[in-house]
Amino acid sequence: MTNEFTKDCIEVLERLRAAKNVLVSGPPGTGKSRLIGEVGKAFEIGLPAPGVAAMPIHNPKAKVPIPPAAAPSDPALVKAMPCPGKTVRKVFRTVFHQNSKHRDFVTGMIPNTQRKAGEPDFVIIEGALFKASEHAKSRNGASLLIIDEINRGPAVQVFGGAIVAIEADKRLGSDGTPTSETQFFDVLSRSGNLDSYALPEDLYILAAMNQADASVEPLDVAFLRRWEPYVLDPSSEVLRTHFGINGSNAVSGALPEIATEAKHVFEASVRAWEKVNRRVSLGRGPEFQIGHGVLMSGISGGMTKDAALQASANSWAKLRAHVQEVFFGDLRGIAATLNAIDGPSFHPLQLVETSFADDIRYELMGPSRIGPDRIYDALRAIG
Amino acid sequence: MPGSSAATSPTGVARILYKEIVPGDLRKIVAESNDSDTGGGARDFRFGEFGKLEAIIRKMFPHTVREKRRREGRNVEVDIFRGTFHWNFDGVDEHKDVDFEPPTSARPSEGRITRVHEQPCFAPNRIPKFGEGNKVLLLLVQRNDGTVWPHFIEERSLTNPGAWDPRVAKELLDCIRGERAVNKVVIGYRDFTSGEGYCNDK
Repeated sequence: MTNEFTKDCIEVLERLRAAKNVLVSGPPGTGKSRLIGEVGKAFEIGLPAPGVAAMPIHNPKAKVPIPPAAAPSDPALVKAMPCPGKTVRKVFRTVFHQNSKHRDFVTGMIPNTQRKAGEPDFVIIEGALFKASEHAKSRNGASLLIIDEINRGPAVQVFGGAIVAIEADKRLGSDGTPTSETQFFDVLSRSGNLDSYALPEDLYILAAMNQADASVEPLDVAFLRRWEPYVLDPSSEVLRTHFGINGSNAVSGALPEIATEAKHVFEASVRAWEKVNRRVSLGRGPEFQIGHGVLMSGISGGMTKDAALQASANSWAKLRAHVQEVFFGDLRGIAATLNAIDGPSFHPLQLVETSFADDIRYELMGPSRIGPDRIYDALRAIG
Repeated sequence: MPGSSAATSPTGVARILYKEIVPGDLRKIVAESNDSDTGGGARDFRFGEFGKLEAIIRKMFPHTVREKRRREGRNVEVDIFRGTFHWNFDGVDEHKDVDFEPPTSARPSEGRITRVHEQPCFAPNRIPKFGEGNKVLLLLVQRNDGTVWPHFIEERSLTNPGAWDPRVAKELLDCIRGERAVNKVVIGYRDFTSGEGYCNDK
């Protein structure tokens, strides 16, 4: 089972082990959510000691519900795994959003909506960071806290006083006692008092963010420097492997004018996507690229040519929407990215100059959605 | 209730609770039972030794709701433990709330999963065939994410080399093969987070 973990997963585990806090970033569609999910799975399974995984593994889709957990044979995984000696491993998950609050993440008070006679009007709640920390403090416990969309909420406010305490060298010692560098912060305890609190050694935090998303909160430098970065880039290799157009099935040289096989459509799609990303990088910045994931949904090797055309038309509708969002209000930017300014004659899209009230105006002529009948021409023209 | 269920990706097992299924239990699922040995006509799966199992049952059925019940001729309010069962048949994630009722004065050592015939995860066609040397167990698996997954399993599969996690297979086989009174069914648990376990009075 463990041999299926990717190189990215192993590298993130390695950084978690060393730095405790890792921030995965990259353009949309580069596999951030998939990666943090994979790291969570690897962390929870842990390492065999000796010969089997730390805990039995439940797999509802297997022939029996708790099959043997295979011992990892990958020495890189053995080397990368955080706190391999801890056997009670648990993953906690949360997603930040515009309304995320410190009380939802650490501890705080909320109205007691289930109040019975004699009970207080407010109750203390414990958030994901506090729960993960408490689990990691328990006997043989280790926690991985996964925070998706960390910059979609006010992260600095949500962390509050915990911001310094998350640093690797500001944690409690391995025996659970404070060191000279342990950083304490205030938490609202279950009794309603403000207590000094510090985070344990075996609490690991993995966050993900999309830097280019326009609706996100900015993260300040002081916050960011407490995280080990791990950047995912768009990958043509991943795409070609997914489409099955690498190795002996690769398409080299110029594409034919008419696609006769699915692999021509896939290769045209990859080349066009590479060009779009190159133009987006120049026009708006590399963080605004679109990841390979946008082209992978609903597409697999072994498709017929017609199925490949249909699936590509669907993918490219999403990709075009991304370009329009990135260059919102800049029609020439959109057209340039799609190579529709003086593009080849078979391009379904063309930027044309016109006028309005004696002023020059531009119009992107062509179908609002390019169907399977024209998508191959469009891909060749864009690429 | 398909849809927003727990993810089905492999996840660590926090604890297991198991109980032997007997032909009377099967009749309860198909809503045909009326024999007193298996708890009369009630459509329940009964768990003896409730006192020994209560802590783990509370973890698997973590919510408490108060409901009215008739006890010794009087209406009283009793605490019912409520949880959620998750299952994945044929690739579809589904879940449904389930109640566990504590013992009554008539059967003071037995707790019960109630209304089993209304649980799609207990579909009769999912229960392996009983036979000599092939007991069938209801295995409740609580994962590290807190979700509880019921499975019907057969003794024969536990002896199949390499099929099961060896710790789980040993746990279940040791209990199946252990000594117990002739009128007792196999019942026990193992908490992998604390190491605690129980099997038929031991």
